[in-house]
Amino acid sequence: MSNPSPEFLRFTGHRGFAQRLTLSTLTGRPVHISKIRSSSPTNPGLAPHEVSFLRLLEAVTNGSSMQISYTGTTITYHPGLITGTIPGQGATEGDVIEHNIPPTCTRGITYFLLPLCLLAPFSKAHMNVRFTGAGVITSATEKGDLSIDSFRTAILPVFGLFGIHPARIELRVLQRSCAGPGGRGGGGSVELRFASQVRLPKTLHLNRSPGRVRRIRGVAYSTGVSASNNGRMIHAAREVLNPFVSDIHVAAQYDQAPLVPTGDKAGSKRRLGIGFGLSLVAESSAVGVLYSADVVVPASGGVVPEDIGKQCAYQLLETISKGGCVSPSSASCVLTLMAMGSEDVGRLRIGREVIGTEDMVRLARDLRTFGASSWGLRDVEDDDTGDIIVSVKGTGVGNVGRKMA
Amino acid sequence: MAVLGKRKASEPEAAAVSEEDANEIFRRHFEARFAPIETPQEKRRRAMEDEDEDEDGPCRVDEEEEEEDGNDDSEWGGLSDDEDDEISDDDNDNNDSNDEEDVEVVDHSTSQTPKATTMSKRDLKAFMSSRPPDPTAKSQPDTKPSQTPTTSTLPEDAPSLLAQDLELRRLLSESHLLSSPALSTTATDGTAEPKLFTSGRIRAKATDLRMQALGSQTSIFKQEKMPMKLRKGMVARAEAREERRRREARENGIILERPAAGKKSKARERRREIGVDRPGMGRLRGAELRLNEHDVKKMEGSRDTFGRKGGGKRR
Repeated sequence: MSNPSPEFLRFTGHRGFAQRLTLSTLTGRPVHISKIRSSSPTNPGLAPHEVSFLRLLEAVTNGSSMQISYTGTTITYHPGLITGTIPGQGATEGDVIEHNIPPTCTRGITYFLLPLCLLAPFSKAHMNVRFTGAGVITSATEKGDLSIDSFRTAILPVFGLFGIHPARIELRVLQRSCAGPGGRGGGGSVELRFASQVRLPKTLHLNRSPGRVRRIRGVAYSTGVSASNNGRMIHAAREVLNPFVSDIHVAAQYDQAPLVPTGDKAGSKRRLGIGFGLSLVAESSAVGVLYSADVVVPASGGVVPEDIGKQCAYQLLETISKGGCVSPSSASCVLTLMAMGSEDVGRLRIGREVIGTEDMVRLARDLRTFGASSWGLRDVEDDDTGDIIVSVKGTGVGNVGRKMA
Repeated sequence: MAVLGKRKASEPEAAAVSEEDANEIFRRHFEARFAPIETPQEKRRRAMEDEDEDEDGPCRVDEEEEEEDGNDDSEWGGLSDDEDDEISDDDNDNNDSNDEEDVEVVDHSTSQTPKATTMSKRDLKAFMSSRPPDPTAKSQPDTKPSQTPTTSTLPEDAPSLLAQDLELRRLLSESHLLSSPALSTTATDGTAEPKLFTSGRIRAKATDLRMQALGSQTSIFKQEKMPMKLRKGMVARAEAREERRRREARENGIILERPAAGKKSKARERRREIGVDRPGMGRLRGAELRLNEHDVKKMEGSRDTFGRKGGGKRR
C-alpha cells in the first residue's frame, strides 16, 4: 500500500450523502463533501442520522477515517476495508455489531439498511448488525423512507438477481416502532444477518417486458394502537385493488408500543413510537420485478386508517403505472450493484418517470465522478410504454478490500 | 235533514256549497299557502313538451328564450345518470341512488368492515419470516390443484381410501357388539323390554375397543380374578357356541371368516421336541454342534450399552 493517496473527490450538499459515502467505500476513493446545510440557520451541518451513519461505517469497516469540520458543514472521508463482523475486532458483541441510534434521529432504519446492504455483499466476513437505541424507526417515515417490511419483501429479493442469494440474508425485526412525537425517535430493534458475500455481482439483463402484475402481498402494522386499524386499512386497500388483481393477501401485524428509556431518571421508561401503516408489494409475472408502496400515519396523527389504506393502494398503482422493471425505491440499489459488477454491460429496462428524477441523475453523475463509465440510454421501440433501456458497464471493482487484504 | 228552529233561511246558502266545492275551496286555500313541489318526472315531462315546442320554429324568439330559461330551470333534474354510475360501485357503503333520482337511498349495511381475509397460516409464516422471499425460487403456491386429481382418479372403494376410512373401520370392529348374546332376547322372554343399561354397556365397550386401538395396555372390562369354576364354565360355553355356529354355517353353506389362529398350538408345536437326548439348541451333526448367532446371544446373557441387563431401570 505504498501508492500515494489519491485525490479527493469533491462533492457539495447534503443530498445523496449516504449514497456518496457508500460509493466511496466500495471503490476505495476518498471524498470531500462540503457545504452541508451551510445555508440553514437552525440546523447547519450534519444531521444526527448522518452522524450515526458515519459511526456505522466506522464500525463495519477497518481503517476508515473521517474528519468533520468544526461547524459540521464539511467532511472528509478516507474509506477502509469492508470487514463486516469479525469477532474480537471493532464494536462486536458476540457475533453482532451493536449499533446505537440516537433519539434525535428522524429517518427510518431503512436509511441505514439500504447502504449497509449495498456494502455487505463485498465485505470480508458476514455482516451482522443489530440496531438498537431510542432512534430506531421500523415503519415508513414521512420523509419517504421505506418501512422495514417493504425493504425485506421488495428490495432484498432483487439481490437474488445478482447472485447474492436472499436465502442467506436474514432481517429480523425484534421490536417494531413508528416515529415518536415530532417525527423523531422510536424504540424499535432490528437485526440484520447478511451471510451471502460475493466477489462480484452477476451481470443483470432485465431488459424484457416487465410482465403483468400477478399478485399483491403486503403487511399492515399497528404499533401501540388498536389492532382493528389493520383490518380497516386492508379493507380500504382491497376496495381499490380488487378490480385489478384477485390475489391480494395482506398480513396484519400488531405490536405493543415499545418502551424507550427517557433521559431524566435512570431506569425510567415511557412508551414511544405509536402509529400504524400499510406496506404493499406487487409481484409481476416476470422474475424479480417488484413494485412497492408505503404509507404511514403522520406522527401527529389525525388520519383514519381507511384513508391510509386508500392512499397506499393509489401509491402502488402509481408506482406500477410508472412502468419498467424496477420501482423508484429500488432503482438506485439495482443500478449501483450493476455498476459494481464485472466489466460487462448489463441492461435494465426502466420507466421514463423513474429514471427522470433528481436522485437518479445524481446517482449517474456520482458514479461517473467515481470512475464508473457513463450509462447508455435508448428507447424501447417494441411497445409504446415509453420505457428506457439503461446499459451500465460494471467497474469490475467488487470489494477493494478483498483484493488488497 | 230538517233543521229545527228558525235557521231555515240560511240553509239553502250552506247547501249551495256542495262537498266538491268545499274541497275545492280547501284545496285552493292550501295551495295558496303551500306551493306544489314539482317532481323531476313532471319537470322532465314539461321539459320534453317545451323542447318539442322549441323545435317548431325560430319565430317565437322571446318566448323561446323564456321557455329556454324556464327549461334550464326545469330541465336540470338532479345529477345525471353517468355521474351516479361513476360514484357507486359494488362495495360502496354510503350512497346508493335509484335510477329515477327521486329517492336517495343510503345503504349502511356494508359499512361494517368484514373480517379482512388475511393469508393462510402457512403463507403468513413464509411471508413474515425473517428471510426475504426469493424471486428466483418460485415454489408452487397452490396445493389445491394437486389434491383434486388424487380424489378424482381413484375409485371409491380403492384400498388406500378404505384404509383411511375411519368410520368404516370402526363399524367393522364394533359391529360384533351389537350381536352379542347379552342383547339377544332369546334368552329372556320375547316380551321383556331390552334393558336400558345394555345400550350403555355397548357404548362403553366400543369406547374401550377404540382405546385399545389407540394403544392402551389393559381393558377395564377384563375380569382378572374369577373363581376357576366360573371361568372354566364361561370358556367352555363360548367354545361350544362358536363350534355350534361354525357347524351350522358349514351345514348351511354359509362362508364364515377363517378361525383365529391359536397361539397355544404354535407354542405347543415348538415344545414338541424331536428327542429327549438331543441338545436343547443348535444342530448336531456327527460331533459338530452348530449354533446361531441368536442362540449364542441368548446364552451369553444380554447387556445393553450401559452395561445393564435387559429391561433397564424399572420405575
